[in-house]
Amino acid sequence: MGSGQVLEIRPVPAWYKIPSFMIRNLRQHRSLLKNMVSRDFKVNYHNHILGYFWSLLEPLALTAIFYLVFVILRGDADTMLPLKIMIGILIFNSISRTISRCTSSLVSNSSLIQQVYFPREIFPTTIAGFGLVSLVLSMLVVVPYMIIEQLPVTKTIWLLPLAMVSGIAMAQGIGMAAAPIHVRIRDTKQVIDLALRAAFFLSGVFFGAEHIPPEHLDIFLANPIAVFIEMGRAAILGDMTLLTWYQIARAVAFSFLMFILGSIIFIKYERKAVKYL
Amino acid sequence: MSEDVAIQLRDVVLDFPTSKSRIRYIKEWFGSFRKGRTSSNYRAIDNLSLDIKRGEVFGVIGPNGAGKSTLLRVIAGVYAPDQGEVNVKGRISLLAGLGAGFQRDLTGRENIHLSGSIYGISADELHDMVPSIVVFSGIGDFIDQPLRTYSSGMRARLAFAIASHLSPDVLLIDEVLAVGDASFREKSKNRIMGMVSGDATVVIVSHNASTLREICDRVMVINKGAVDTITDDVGEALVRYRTLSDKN
Repeated sequence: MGSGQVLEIRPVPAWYKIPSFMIRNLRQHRSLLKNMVSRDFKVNYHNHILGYFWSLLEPLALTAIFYLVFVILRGDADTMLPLKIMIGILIFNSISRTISRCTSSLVSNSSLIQQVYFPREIFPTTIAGFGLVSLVLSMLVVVPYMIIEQLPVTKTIWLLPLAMVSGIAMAQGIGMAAAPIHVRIRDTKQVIDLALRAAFFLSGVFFGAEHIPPEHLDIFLANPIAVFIEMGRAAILGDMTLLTWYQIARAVAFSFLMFILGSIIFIKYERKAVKYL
Repeated sequence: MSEDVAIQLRDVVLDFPTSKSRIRYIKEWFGSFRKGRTSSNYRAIDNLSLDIKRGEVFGVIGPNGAGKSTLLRVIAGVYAPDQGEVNVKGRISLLAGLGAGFQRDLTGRENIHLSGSIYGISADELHDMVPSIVVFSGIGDFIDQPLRTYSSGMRARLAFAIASHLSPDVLLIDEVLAVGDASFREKSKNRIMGMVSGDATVVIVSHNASTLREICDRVMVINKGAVDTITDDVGEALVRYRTLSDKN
């Protein structure tokens, strides 16, 4: 801000102007945004490379256990199942963590909010940015698996970035809608976390669309998280026979609508909500 | 807004929820239905209009709960007014509770960068400022150690060193910032005086009569969220403040 500039506490615009209002605010504060995301990385990975490997440990350990149980002990024919499970865990975890952290983003930053003003949408956007980058980084664990199993990179691979971006955008939208409510009613996060635990079992993390009877497949894939996980699997395995373009388009459209709706709710109510911090 | 006005408040109203209407958990909500809901607000800032000129040092004084800190936060943009308009020209810093955004696990140097960018300083500006912040804080080699290894005094000194390097156009000070040992306190007092006597517009909330007499061009007495008196005679404001305090 130059010295001649007027910092006007801009009134909240009409709801249909809120998305562009938010984008302008975020662009104006992009260096702060970058610093906040890098802070999250430093704090989470403790500034050293081992920290990054710790974050991979959970999906790796779970995949190893599933490999042991399903491939070695039970002799299941599908050697790809551990890979599918790993992709499922990675995508689901980052969506669920982003929803949960965005929900509490106003409450957990209350002391900062009361000290300095900057657009509060920076908090959930930082969380989503961190979630997306760390999802991309942890997706790298599938590379050795692809090499060992000699999986070729096919043209469906672009479904993976689409699934990751849509999943995180949806998560940020849901979290932004919930954040002002969580300020008023502090049980909101508990309710959301409970719903996320249910979603974990409904989204096919430990099984795939191929285990769903065909007549129920469309209901299963009405859940956008299940679609994003299947998209990730289809991208890496190069096989999208179980997904239709309609289902993909529906899930992606839902996630972007959710993102816009969440931003509108957040920006409309955030200023009232901070008085309750 | 005319050229020489730095801070302008027009008919600002700010309502705050009372503690009774701050329902935190679903359980309490059900309880409040049984007792009859109390969603009452109290008026923290009541129809307040104010013009503060560029470069002016403006003191705010008033009884406890009169709305002094809330007023600073409204000017800083922390609370958006429910009615009326707030316009502030230039970069603002609110010095109330130091160390915005400090992270225990980051080093002192990383915290300077983080906290600085939260206060709105650009990366380039920060880069030039860091050595001087490090020297002023007197932390020495500890600057590259994580903040969790600092004593509370060191943390406060680092926070003050950052705050005092902000060179804002509008400086909002909530009470006197006294941190560190005697020599650091002296150093920080001089620093604040330096900032106050510079070009910045200053709004200072204080109970300290001698501070106000020493530095303020004008003083406002605030009571129940509204302007009681605005005067350039600091002595008169102090007398008015004492009568108000005695009444309460």
